[in-house]
Amino acid sequence: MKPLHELSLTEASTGIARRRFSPVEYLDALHARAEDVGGKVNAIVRPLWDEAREQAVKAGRRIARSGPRSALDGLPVGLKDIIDLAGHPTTCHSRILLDNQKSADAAVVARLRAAGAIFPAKLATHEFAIGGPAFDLPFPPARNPWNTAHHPGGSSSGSGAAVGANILPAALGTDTGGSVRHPASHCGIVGMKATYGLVSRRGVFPLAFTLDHVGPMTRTVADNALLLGMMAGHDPADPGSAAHKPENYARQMKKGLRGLTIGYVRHFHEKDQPASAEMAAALDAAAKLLAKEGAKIKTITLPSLTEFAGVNRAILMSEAAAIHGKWLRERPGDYANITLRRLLPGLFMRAEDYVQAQRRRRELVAEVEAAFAEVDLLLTASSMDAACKIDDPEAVELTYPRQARTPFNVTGHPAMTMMCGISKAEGLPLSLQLVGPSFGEAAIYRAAAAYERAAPWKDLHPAL
Amino acid sequence: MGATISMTEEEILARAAGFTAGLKTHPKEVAEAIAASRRMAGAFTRPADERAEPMPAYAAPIPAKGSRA
Repeated sequence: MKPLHELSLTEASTGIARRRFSPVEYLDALHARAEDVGGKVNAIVRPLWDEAREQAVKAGRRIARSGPRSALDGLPVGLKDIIDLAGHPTTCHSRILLDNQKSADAAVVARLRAAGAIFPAKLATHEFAIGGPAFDLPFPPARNPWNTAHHPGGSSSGSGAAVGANILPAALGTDTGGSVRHPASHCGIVGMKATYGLVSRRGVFPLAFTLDHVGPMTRTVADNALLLGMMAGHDPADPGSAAHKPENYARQMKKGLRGLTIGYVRHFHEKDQPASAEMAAALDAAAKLLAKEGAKIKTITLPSLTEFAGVNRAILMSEAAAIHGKWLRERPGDYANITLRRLLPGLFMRAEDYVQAQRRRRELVAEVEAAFAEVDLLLTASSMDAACKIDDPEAVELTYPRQARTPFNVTGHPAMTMMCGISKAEGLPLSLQLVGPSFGEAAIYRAAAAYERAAPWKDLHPAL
Repeated sequence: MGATISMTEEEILARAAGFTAGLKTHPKEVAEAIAASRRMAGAFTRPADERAEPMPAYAAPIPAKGSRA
């Protein structure tokens, strides 16, 4: 049997339900793992192991008495530290909010808590989910578990590092311009940005209201589907929440690929932002494997990445300026310098540019919708390169535009990133992205599960 | 006639943005931000149709439960 800390969420759930080990034993194994390797990846900004252990003891008693409340009962989930957890501060990895004590859970945390989940850690993030790896903040930046000299991706950097390093089986991240999928790409895990509005944002510190999503980050596709199923649901108190019934997202996962047509958006990584040779080869190999497993692959053309990125930036900067304007004006020196430089352009955007971006957004949405009249899913690059060195500011700066994630924050379509190779030169994960029509998460999980079964990556772990 | 005040473009824009004090402490960052905002504003195509509606469309509130309407 695998060491307990290497179990997936689903394996741990089965082990607990069958009384092979208790929630406390599982949590203790993860705690030991965190003690062992946590200092190398800096994923955790606020450890809550003692509180989580009390919850695990209660869950164990409850399960022994009447069986598990859900497949998540007694299982740990980490939280990016912009997501509220009752009784603890939400710092946003910033000195500005060090004392930002919260008395209530974020809506998504409340849903997971009701399902029996426990919360052993608040996790590192780029400051306010926008900065970058910064060395002038109260907490150190998270590092890549595959090579700690490298960037883990961001902004949900601690969530990616904790799950990739087997410290936690699952974590929540947030995604405004790709911040769940970027660390998923670089840490070799599965990250889902579901359809806009499927998961409540209430109790999550905003970055840009019309682009923000909360998403699950796990090591397997099945775990991701399980967690999203527990997170999703209409929240009337979130103005962006969709009135869409939660589904069993795992229901199609054994169906395989026959009958699915997947549109391969080659120009994103061949022309718009040319990917590294290794990444391009890994994407082509993934397309071939999907075809071998029964999918029909068809080349699809969308608007250029530049258009999507331009619209994303104009909207993100303007909305973020509305949130951060007061602090930017009164205490600019309290932000990390990289965060200040990221946020400050928003103060100089014109109202007209914001509205023009929102007008162009409607056209871009229509063009992606038109693609879904021809295909069931899209296959695209996620990152154009493997993770760069974390202490190379120029390379870090390049990592943010060299990606194909922002289009689906602009359009709101569901998009998932998973591993599709290892770079030979550096031993770092390579990744692909699958995109579905609105509320088409089940089809994404179906294709991703088929790829995961056929590809050789799922049992690889970083050698920390 | 009143006295004229000579200001740089950056000073004018920083004042308009309410960032006058910040310009003194972070002049390099302000210059970068102004340049970046111009790049961002020009980084996407404007809709050709003058009547194009922005997203998200405004929607009137649904009357709340117990509303007298």
